[in-house]
Amino acid sequence: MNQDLGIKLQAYLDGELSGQDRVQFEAELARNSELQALRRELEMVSGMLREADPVRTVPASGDFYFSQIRRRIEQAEGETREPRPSINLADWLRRALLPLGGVAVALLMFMTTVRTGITPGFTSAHEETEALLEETGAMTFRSDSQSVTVVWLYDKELASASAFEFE
Amino acid sequence: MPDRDPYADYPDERLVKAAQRGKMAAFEHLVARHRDKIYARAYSMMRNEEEAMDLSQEAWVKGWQRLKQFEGESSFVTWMTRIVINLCLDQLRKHKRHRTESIELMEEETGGVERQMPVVTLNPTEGLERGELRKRIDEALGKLSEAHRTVLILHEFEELEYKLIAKRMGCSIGTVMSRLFYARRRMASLMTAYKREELS
Amino acid sequence: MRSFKPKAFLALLVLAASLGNLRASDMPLEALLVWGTNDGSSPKPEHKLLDGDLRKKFDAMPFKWKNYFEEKRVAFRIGTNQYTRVTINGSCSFDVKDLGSPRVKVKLYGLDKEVVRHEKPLPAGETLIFAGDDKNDKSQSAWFIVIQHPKVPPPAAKPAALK
Repeated sequence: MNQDLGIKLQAYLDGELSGQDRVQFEAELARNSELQALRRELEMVSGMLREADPVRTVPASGDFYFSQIRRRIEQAEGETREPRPSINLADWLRRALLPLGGVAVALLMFMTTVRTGITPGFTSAHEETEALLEETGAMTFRSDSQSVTVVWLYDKELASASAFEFE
Repeated sequence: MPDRDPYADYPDERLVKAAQRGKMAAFEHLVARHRDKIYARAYSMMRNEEEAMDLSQEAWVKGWQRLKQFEGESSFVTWMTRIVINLCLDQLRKHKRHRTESIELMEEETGGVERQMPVVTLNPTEGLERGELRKRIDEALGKLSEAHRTVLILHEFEELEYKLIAKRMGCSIGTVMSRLFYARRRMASLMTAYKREELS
Repeated sequence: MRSFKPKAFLALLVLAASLGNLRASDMPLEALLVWGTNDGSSPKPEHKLLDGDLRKKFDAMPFKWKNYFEEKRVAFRIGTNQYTRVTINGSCSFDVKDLGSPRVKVKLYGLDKEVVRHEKPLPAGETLIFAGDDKNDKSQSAWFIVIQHPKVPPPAAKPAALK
């Protein structure tokens, strides 16, 4: 059974086929046992996903999470507001420890910042490749399912892409 | 004796109306009530805790800014989910700019699907209680490429039709269909593999 | 004016130092040199056939080689403040640094020239592979430098050179 027929089955099950296409496909489905087996598989997957949308809990306290949201709102609105010490750990530490010595404060702030995840800025999950030699090119491939990134280096003159072969 | 929080028992509709009048405390209740769901959707798309935190918080900020435009055409949480999905899609588009190709996408486009995945006949969800099923589904989703996972989430969890998914993802309807097909078959194959591991 | 309290300051420094230990900034990594070929065996007796999870990963890649041989493997740890140099052989080495998150930056050198830089998230279970044709073998085989963050850290403590 070719992929196109499978995709058509999918469209049929998703209600995206209409009119004559739908009627013709129903006739094909009635006589094709492979298609019927595939139908059971696709319906099983949809049913399974409908029942169990993954759940996650925000990995931070509610107060902290909301305080970050409020700060962003205020920044966007150009307002300033005094942070509440019970929510903003970094500010509390700065106020509580300042009299005791700058180096210790800086050290403790850094350690605590890293431990509690109050990291300045945002780190994207993207990857960056930079080839530095004129004669060498780089192609980057990623397989999410294998958790692997491959950086393939090649001689630009020879332009070797022969390493890869999709059957 | 402290006063009882006036917003504690409000349904979403009343909280939204109060927040639309500028009551941040009402908005805080909406966040408390729905933050896990919005975060979960961001995480399911980005598969990265830090990004999911950042994008879910950004979604709440946008929700606050656009609150007056919300007219109750859908539930508040559905409206917020659309916002976080759009932010995630924008972020995923930025990932692509660095030209790292997905091997799964390439395999799908060269027709590797048929050969690699025989039709699944065993029911991999049989006997699983919901918590365990959710955990396996989450694990399996993590093994899909970004593009496949996104199209699956938008169709199966957000119930968007192909045309809308194509528009949101900036691709053709044909691409949506083939990615969705691959994603579903891959999920069936992964869930079956988990079941077989359990039985052996 | 508030008087300086030495004991409190000392306690704070001790606390800060212990928090530093708890942070355990060293990231455990493994590097391997692997050869890909269609030959059934390797000319070097010290090579061993690649197996296990890493072999599965290679098989899942769209490479054309049938066999992969592990030439060298070493475990090491990297920190956040400076690059760790790992020498693969006489002509190849790389520098790697933990950028936090966990995210790493790798600089690959060939014949003392920096060839490529790559930055990526590298949580436990994640693998980065640099690869290219073996020009000495008229592209009939390929080299692979695998850098992985093992899920179970192997027992190695210091940055080391592959010799």
